[in-house]
Amino acid sequence: MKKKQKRKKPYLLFIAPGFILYTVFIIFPILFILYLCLFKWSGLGPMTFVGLDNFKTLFNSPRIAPTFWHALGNNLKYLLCVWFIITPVQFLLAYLFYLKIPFYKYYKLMIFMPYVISSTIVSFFATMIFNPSIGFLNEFLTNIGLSHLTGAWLGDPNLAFKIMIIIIIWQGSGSGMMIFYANMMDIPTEIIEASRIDGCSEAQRFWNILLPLSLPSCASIIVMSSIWALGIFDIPFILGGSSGGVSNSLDFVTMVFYRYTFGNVLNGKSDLGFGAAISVAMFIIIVIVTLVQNKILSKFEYDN
Amino acid sequence: MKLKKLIAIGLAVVMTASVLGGCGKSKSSDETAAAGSTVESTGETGTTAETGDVSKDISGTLTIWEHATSFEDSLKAIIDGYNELYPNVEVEYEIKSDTYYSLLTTSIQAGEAPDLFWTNGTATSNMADLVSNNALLDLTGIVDYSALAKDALYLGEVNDAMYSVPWMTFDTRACYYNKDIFEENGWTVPATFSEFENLLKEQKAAGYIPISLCPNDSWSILFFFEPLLAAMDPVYTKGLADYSVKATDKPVTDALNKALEWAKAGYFGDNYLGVSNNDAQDLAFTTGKAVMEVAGSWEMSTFEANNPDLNYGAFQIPAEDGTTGMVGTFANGFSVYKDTQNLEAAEAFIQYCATLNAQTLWVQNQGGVSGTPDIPSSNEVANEIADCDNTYTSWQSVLSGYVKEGESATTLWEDVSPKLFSGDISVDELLSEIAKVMQ
Repeated sequence: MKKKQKRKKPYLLFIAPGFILYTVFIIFPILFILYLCLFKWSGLGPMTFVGLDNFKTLFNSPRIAPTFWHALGNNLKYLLCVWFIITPVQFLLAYLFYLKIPFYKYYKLMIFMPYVISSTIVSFFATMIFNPSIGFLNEFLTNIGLSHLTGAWLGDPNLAFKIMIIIIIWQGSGSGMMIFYANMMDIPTEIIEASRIDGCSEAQRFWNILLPLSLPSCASIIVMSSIWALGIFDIPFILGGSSGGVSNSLDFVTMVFYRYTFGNVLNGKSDLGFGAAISVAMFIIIVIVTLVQNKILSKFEYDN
Repeated sequence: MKLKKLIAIGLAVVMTASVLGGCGKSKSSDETAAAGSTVESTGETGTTAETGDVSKDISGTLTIWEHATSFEDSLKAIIDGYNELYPNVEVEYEIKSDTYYSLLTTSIQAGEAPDLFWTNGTATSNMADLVSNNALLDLTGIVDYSALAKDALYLGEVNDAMYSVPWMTFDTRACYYNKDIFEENGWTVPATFSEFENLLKEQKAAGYIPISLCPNDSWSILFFFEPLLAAMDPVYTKGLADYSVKATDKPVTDALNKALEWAKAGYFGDNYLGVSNNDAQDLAFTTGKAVMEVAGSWEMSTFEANNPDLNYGAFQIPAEDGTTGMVGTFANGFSVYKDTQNLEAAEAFIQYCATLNAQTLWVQNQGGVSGTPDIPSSNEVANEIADCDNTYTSWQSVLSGYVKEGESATTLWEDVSPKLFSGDISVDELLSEIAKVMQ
């Protein structure tokens, strides 16, 4: 027994550097955030213990709680878009390229290209397109005699979220599409050949071969996109400003966190304890969503 | 087996050493730099700045933090002026923008703060917080403030001691207008509030956006609202100076309702809710889409950067009796970090900031409104802004100065005011929220 333990020691030494760094940079900060959420602290000077007051404020304050729940609602709305719009679009695009539609190489390049551009830059140019006073879209509509169609776009609470989703699809669909495409290309040709010999139609091949065999990659894409959806910040921040856009239509939990944790540059009232409470609440929500999602997606695994 | 064990231990040591070595290396180089720049204070600083003699005795590096890119040119000019007197001091600067105060407090907490940094002085509570946390150097007796306007010194004073050097730029608000569009349409600068409202109507009828406004940014709303309030009720606005009027009295309700009335009339453009930030607000004015913009005097450098050919002027929105007033305060400048590694150079820099030469450089590079007759404004538009009958305390400084202990009316304004124009909150609801936290 003693000998066995001794033999393990070299392996412990191997994992030690990584473990130490992981503990210092991941575990300790998480523990510190759990501790910090019980205090009121501007980042300087003594920390004041407030117990669970930060959570009470977050969930009960008549000013902050509606903002937080609304922002969380936007996160969940975006999550639904990932499941039911963005991922299916990515899959459909990959399928079209798999079918080798005319000029598919050109389209593939064009669809993937925006993915390499930073989302900050994409969002900035989007504001230049949708700006109601100096933006390209209203200018174009006016010049072709359709001035009655001009609008506030990102300033319209009914349109802002939809525009953001369109921008995200335009910019980000290339990544998931490439994973789906690679997955489809990996499907053994024998299976496809056999289906052809058996007289399978294209639709039957899609529903009975391509779709089931793409489900594992679908699960990975959904998990990654969902985590991203719950932490989205840069695109809505640039499109709607730090206040979360008109009627908070582009407000997300990370932006609520940003506003209350760091404050404005001119006023600068920061509250790191309250920010930590938002982080903890968000962490719990992400864990719940991920567990539910994993439970559902586990059915898509090969061995099931 | 033994050999394997030795190799394993060796590799683990190498990996750990290389990782930690990487971290340690940058720290030690910082330490070297810091150590190299540490000098004892001689107590003679300020002398060179005042006399204009060149001093090669002071050396090392200084780091300065500013909060907005619109101050970069002025800061560069100040650094150049300082380096003429102290050629052996290397001055670096960083513009921190959005999360400025958060970065500053983190750097102070970590003991890595810049040698000098901007704060908003006593206009907000941040500088007092830094003083109470023993982070700022007491400049009383170190800096000679005699070249500065006495009215500005309150910005740097906490508990009867001085902690910053204010700038002699008067941070005011004004109504900027596109002179070419005015000329093309035969419009003139209005003399009364009614004339101003008629002008808005005419501009709208002519197919222009009369005023560029971002309704989603609390500060853009504030800097538009304050001159409007002063024009609509100069007597009330005068009362803000000593808080003989409340921040939520009826004139404030009337001014905010007037802003909403103008929004409904299309005076900010039909689709103004889509103007998502202050940059977009400025761009609509500088590209000539909007005829006017009501904003801070510090925006002039942005206008000129956006469109150097813009032919623009400025006026104060007039009251009904024809008088005009300027809302604003002096601008605050730098403070010195108490544990600066180069105290002598930092003291020399802050003393230099308090000289007439440095103040002139700052005001004139900023193109701002001068707050003292000793410094002429370099910008014709700044003179137009200052050409008025009265000077008023800003409504925002009342929000900061007369708030209940532990509350922040400014944060409340930041939070709630963007909901005003979208109709998510009424003027009465907004002001009743603010009234709850005011003294």
